[in-house]
Amino acid sequence: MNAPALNREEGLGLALAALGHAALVWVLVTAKPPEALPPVERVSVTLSEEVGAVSTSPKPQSDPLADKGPELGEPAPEPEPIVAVQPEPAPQPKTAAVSPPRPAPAAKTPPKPQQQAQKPPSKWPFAPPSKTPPAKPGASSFDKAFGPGVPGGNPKGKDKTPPAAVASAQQVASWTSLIGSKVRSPWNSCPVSGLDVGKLKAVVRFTLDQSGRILAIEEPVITGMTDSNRAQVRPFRDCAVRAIKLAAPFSGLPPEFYDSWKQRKLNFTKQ
Amino acid sequence: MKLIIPFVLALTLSASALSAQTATPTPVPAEVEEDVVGSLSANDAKIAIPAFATNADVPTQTSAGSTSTLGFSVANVIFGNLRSNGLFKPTGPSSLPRPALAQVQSPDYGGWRGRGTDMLIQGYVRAEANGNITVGCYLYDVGLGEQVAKAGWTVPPGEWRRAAHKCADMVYSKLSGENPFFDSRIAYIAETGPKNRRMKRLAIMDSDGANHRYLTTGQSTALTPRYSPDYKSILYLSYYNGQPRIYIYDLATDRQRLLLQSQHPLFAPRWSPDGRWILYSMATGGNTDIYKMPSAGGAAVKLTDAPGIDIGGSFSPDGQRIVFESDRSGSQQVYVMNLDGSGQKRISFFGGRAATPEWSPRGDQIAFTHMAGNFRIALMDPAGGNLRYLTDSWQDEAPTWAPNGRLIQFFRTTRGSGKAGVWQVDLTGKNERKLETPGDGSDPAWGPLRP
Repeated sequence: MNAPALNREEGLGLALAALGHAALVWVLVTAKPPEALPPVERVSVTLSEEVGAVSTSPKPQSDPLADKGPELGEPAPEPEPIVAVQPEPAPQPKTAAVSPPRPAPAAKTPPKPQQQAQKPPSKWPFAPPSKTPPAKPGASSFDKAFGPGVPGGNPKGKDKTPPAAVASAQQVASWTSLIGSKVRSPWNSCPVSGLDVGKLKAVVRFTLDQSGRILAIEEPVITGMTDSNRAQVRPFRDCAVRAIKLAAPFSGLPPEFYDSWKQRKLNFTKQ
Repeated sequence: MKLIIPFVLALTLSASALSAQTATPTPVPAEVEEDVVGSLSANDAKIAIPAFATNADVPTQTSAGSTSTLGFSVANVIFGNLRSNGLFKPTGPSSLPRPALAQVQSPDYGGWRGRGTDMLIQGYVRAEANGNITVGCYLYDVGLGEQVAKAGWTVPPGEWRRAAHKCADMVYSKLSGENPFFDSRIAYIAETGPKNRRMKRLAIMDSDGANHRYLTTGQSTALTPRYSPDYKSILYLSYYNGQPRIYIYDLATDRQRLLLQSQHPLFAPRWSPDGRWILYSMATGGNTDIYKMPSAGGAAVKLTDAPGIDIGGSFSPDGQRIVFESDRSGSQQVYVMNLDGSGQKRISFFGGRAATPEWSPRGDQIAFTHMAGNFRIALMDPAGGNLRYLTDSWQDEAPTWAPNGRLIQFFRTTRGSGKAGVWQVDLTGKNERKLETPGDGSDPAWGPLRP
């Protein structure tokens, strides 16, 4: 079958179309591509008051301590240190924590809460004497039940705070206010009265050990003295130091972040 | 009978331990600081004062009875002293258990903490063979569990209250920083009788109103007493049949010496701080001026000569300046001048009138009566700044200072009845109270802390 021959007009039209396509292809290939616009930068803004200078990302492998102590039930009485060969001098209850490891008692001693073992053995000389009487056998330890810990944690865990690498500013602020609020009540129970007493200010720096006990209190720096309040400077200073002593020890401060709270500075005023 | 023997005066200073422990500054990332703002009006210092213990309950020659009842009374006097003071919240012996003698030096801190006690005053009473009474006094900081101060005194049986005042003074000065003042006496003018025939007698009493005694009979009218700086005598003004006289009453001998008498009205005699000079005011020919004369007697020097009434000088504690009252501007106002009368300058510009200025024994304040509507006791600094009102009643006037510069006494006249009483207020204006006197009282003057 013979293909119908192209007539003249058709041939011309086809040629023109081919030429036009060729020209278009040439233009597209040779033309300079337009300059690319810079990509739109997206800035994400987060409004937050928590300014963590350092990462506070979770520690995945943490082993949180339960916030509630295990039920004590009927614990066996404190085992006397049984030393068969060399009887030691009379056991001193205050140094029990550092006494040599006790022999495991028969069988029913429940596991002791970890925090008790962490109590420092030495007693700071000016700390008030311990107000808690020795726990009676069988008594449930209310105090221990509300010790520092993490809800739902492991009773044998070691960490007392939510796991994080470094303390956030918010955490530091909460520890600070914990100290300040404990000091405020004994500061108010110390009488200072007279003209211009409202102008006095005592700046007291003190250092805490890892368990929140006072290591040292520096001599307070007093400002705002006038002729009228000179007599009150000594009681004002004594009251500030007394308030810190009475508020100590500061429990609930996480030892992992000791560096962030070991040195404190409080500015005492009365208004 | 003024025997009082201090013993064991060693004070354990709670602050002394501080200097021993200074922190070595270690490199810290950032120092965290916080403001601890207390309340000046908080008055939460709870002081417990249980009855004083005794080694043996034996009779004594005191008015209080046996050593056991005396131990109770001593604690009660201390309780009264501290309660009236406003700095503390004391609890007295009637509502507290009595500690045993052995506990006096080793208190049951735990038990006292359980009662919410901050400070504890304990002590003992012992009868000596010669009839004297020994009182031991201990102040403990219950919160810290440490002794703050201790002292003891042996007194004749008739002066057992003084031992209690000494104990209160020890506690007060230790805790407030102020000089003590409970073991002191007050002179004032005791007023009796109807208004037109008022009898005004010079009287003295202990700071708590006990041991009240009249020094003059009332035949002459006594006014404006002032203790001498050594507190051995009282200077006062007496009118007998319209004749004004200035006397110095010697408290040791109960005799008085006439310093000055005049045909002209005299007012407001005052001591210089060294006791060598007396200031007084005298009215002649409608003009009242201030004079100065030696306290031993002698010629007087006139310090003011402005027309009008210049009256009532009071020395600054360094003795270099005198504050006084003058109406030369048309109304009563407060002025200061130098010792020789030079440099007279008005310092009160508060509206109303300002009268009866008294320089504080510390020098930093002048107390006066401000009269703008009501009469109120007020303070200003010696330059006339910082007006502060201490009282707000109908008619309070004539302030005088306690020796410690912390309290002011004045007399208050009640609206309507016209009854006058001696009151005191502290410098904060908060702790105001009336002194109990047998009758009406005016013109108080606070005496010495007794030796």
